[in-house]
Amino acid sequence: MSKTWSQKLKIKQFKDFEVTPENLFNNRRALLKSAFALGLLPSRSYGHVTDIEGYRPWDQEYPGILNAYEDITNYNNFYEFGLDKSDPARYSHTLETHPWQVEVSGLTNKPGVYDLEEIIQPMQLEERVYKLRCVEAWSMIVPWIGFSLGSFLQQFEPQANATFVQFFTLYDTDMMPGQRSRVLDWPYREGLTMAEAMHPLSFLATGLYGKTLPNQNGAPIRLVVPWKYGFKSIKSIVKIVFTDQKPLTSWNQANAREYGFYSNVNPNVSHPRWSQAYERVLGQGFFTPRVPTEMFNGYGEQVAHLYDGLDLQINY
Amino acid sequence: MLPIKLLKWIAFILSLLPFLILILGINNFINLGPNIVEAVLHRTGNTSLNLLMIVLLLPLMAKHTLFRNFIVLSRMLGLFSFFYAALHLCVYLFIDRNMSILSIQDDFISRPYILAGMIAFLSITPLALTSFRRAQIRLRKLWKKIHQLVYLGTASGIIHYIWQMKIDLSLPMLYLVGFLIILELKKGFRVT
Repeated sequence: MSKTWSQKLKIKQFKDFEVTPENLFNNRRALLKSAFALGLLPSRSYGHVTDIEGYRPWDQEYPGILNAYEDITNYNNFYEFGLDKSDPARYSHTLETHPWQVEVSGLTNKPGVYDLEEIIQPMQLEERVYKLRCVEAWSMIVPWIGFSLGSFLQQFEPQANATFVQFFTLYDTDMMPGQRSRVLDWPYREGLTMAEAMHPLSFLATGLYGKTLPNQNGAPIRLVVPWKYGFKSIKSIVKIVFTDQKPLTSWNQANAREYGFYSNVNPNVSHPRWSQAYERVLGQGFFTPRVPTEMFNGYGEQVAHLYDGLDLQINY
Repeated sequence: MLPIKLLKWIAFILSLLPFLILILGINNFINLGPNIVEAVLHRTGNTSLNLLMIVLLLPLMAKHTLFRNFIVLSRMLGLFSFFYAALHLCVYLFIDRNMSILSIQDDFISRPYILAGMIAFLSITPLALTSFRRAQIRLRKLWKKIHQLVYLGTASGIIHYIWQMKIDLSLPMLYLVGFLIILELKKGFRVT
């Protein structure tokens, strides 16, 4: 599994192609869409991983860049199932993801409690290869499957005065036994500004690696915001609230000095626990050095304008 | 009671076991997970602290006839603790920080747990250096004084452990409680 640095540099290349998805992507997208239309996509159980038909492994086109499926699904921070990175893979089988409902409320013209299947039905599935940068100074390259958050949220017609959107994870101590220990103020909650949420890079994932999401990765539906630290990408979402107040976010509540509301990946903001200047790409050998962390996790060209006039040293 | 020689061999093999696991892990014979550097850092740190706690327990255990022999393990286990601490430090400096002076300097300034870990290592270094018998004979009373540093070393090791924790302090706090109990028991023995 040794990857040379020049191979890894290709990450930059495919970052461009995933935001301008015309060329290589259309193919894949068409395949996925038809698979969805034919009902080949799993509709019975989101809790058990099923293959998404029509999916061609990305790794065959760009070998050696993606993290292994085993790494992505066995090294998770999902405290609802325990604090160790291997706990979620071991214990998340207690999570039952079918049926799954999502409550939408706040400043929206279409509040209500929706069946997940109903609200993801109109969405066009596509694959996005993103770098996930954890605040713990490690990163992995993940081929997500899902749809853009913005187009999903538009369904609910957020009102003009909605400036933020807040998300909640399921709260159920039987299905998520880790919630019995109060390490965080459950349920887990996260939030974005509406401008961030509507950005085309913001993504909701329902699958990865051509399969439905395993429970430990946030089944049946999770957020992926690639220019922010991983903890912003909330898992197993059951509630979405449109609001005009800056919403509470779990890690900010737990330790405001270390985790800000924005939590954009920023190598220049020192962190009391981990230097954010470098990161370890997972799945490498023992002697592979860390690589420098890029501003906004390398997505600066696309997202930096969202923060014009904002002092990112203060608004970290 | 176990014969001393056998006891020492058992302790030696048990103390070496974590090192063998790491060697196998680094060479991919054992799966240490996708973040192998972190795994090695955690394992060496934990093993070093565990051994230090055992060393502190040995004099108390020796009060029981069943474990009277165990006190002879102090030097070996103490040296093993130093060995794992040195590995821990080397992996941090040369692998994790890749010898980047800037990055190490930033760690020392911005992250107090790094400082605590350094104090722990510096506290147990003189113990390792004076662990052989001739040093003990030559230094006499001073030797005993020097070796009181084991308490500073353990305390700062535990603080290092607590301060690097992200959110859940329960495990390192258990070490702290254990350490305080050992101190308390030691006081009790001295009085009687």
